[in-house]
Order: sequence, then C-alpha cells, then structure tokens
Amino acid sequence: MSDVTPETLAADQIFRDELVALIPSLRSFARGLSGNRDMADGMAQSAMMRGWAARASFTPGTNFRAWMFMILRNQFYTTIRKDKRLTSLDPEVAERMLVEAPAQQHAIHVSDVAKALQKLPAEQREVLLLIGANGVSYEEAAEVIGCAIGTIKSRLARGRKALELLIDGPTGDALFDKVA
Amino acid sequence: MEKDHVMKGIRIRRSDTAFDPVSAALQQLHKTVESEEIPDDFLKILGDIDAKIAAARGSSPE
Repeated sequence: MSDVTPETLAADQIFRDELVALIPSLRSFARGLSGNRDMADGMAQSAMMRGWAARASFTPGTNFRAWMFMILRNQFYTTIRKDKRLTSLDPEVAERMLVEAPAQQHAIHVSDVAKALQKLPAEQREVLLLIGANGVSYEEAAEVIGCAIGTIKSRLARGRKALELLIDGPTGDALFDKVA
Repeated sequence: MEKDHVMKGIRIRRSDTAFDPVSAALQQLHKTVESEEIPDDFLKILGDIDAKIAAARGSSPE
C-alpha cells in the first residue's frame, strides 16, 4: 500500500495485539455456536482474517471485542446457511465435568449444558454464550447481534428457561444428579 | 419427597445470585476452551500478519 504511515503501522500493531488477546474468546464463542471444535476453529480463523482485511473500517478506541464477535457471528450464520448439519456436539466439550454448587448435594453436568445448548435456537444460544459464557454486557451483546437491549434480555431469559427445561426434563430429574 | 424439597431449594437458589449452576456451567465451557493451547493454524495466521506488518514497515517512508 502506498499510504503506509507511522500511524497506520502503529494502528496495525495494536490491532494485531488485540487480535492475539482475543483468540481464546473467539474460539470459545465459535465452539459454543457450532458445537464442533474443527468447525469452530475454522470459523474463528476466517473471522481473524476477515477482521484483519477489514481493519481500516475499525475505529480505534471503540469496542474491538464486539466488532470481532460480530464478524465471527456473521461467519457462523453464513456457514450454517451452507451446511444444515451444524448441530453435532464436540465430544471434547461433552466431557463429563461437574459443576457442583457449594454446600449442595447436587451437581450439574457441563456436558449436559453443552448438549442442550446445541438444541436451542441459534438466536438464544448466541446470547447465552455471549453473556453467560464470555461475560459480555447486555449493551455489548446488543452491539454484536445488532438488536435492542430489550431483545437481548428477552432472548436470554427464554434461552435460560429452554436450557433448563432441556436439561431438567419435565420433572426436573435430569439436571441434578446426586453426588455420593 | 426429600428430593422435591431439595429441588425446590435449588430452584430458589437459582433465582438468587448466590450460585447459578447454568451460568457456572456456561463459564466452565468457556474456561475449558480458553485454557487450551492455541492451535498452530492460528499461529500461522498471526505469522502472516506479522510478515505483512514487517513488509509495510520496510516500505514506510519513516
């Protein structure tokens, strides 16, 4: 490029460093969306390359994470439009891990949550992943998805309810396995 | 009956901020991926980016 300046070089370096720091979150979000490790890593890599190619359109000082999540999300929806089989669960994610409530006698299987997530509508899944797993704010999630904060809250509530129902079953037997 | 009682207790806890098993599970899923080593494919992309930055630096008037 002929318009290389010390400022653009510095901006590129900052962009690159922020991208590096975001890789684990990009992989995590992609994994949760697709439920498949290889597919997720492919999407995260595509998002990185697209982000880099479009870096001139990013405004330094604005929310880089939201900007990259938006690119990744678009990548996901493009991918599932092409491949409808994108609901398979990654066996690695489905490891039988326990998250035990302190001072409680019951535990929830993380793998059950991972499985149930893949059964949710994508619009609910993405909100649960952004807010519940990645810890983004309602405002940031609304920016990523391109909708109102009220919509985010509504999808989060419906997603949580659906998730609990999927894990619990109608009687609530499945969610909490007694820990001996 | 005891189970119903316990389940009721957990449901109450779920609506509290004390401990939320679903949130904890979602966070655990995230932490699991986050703790994985970054695959080589990602490092290759970063290497390409570094090469482009280095090339641009070489062509910079400064």
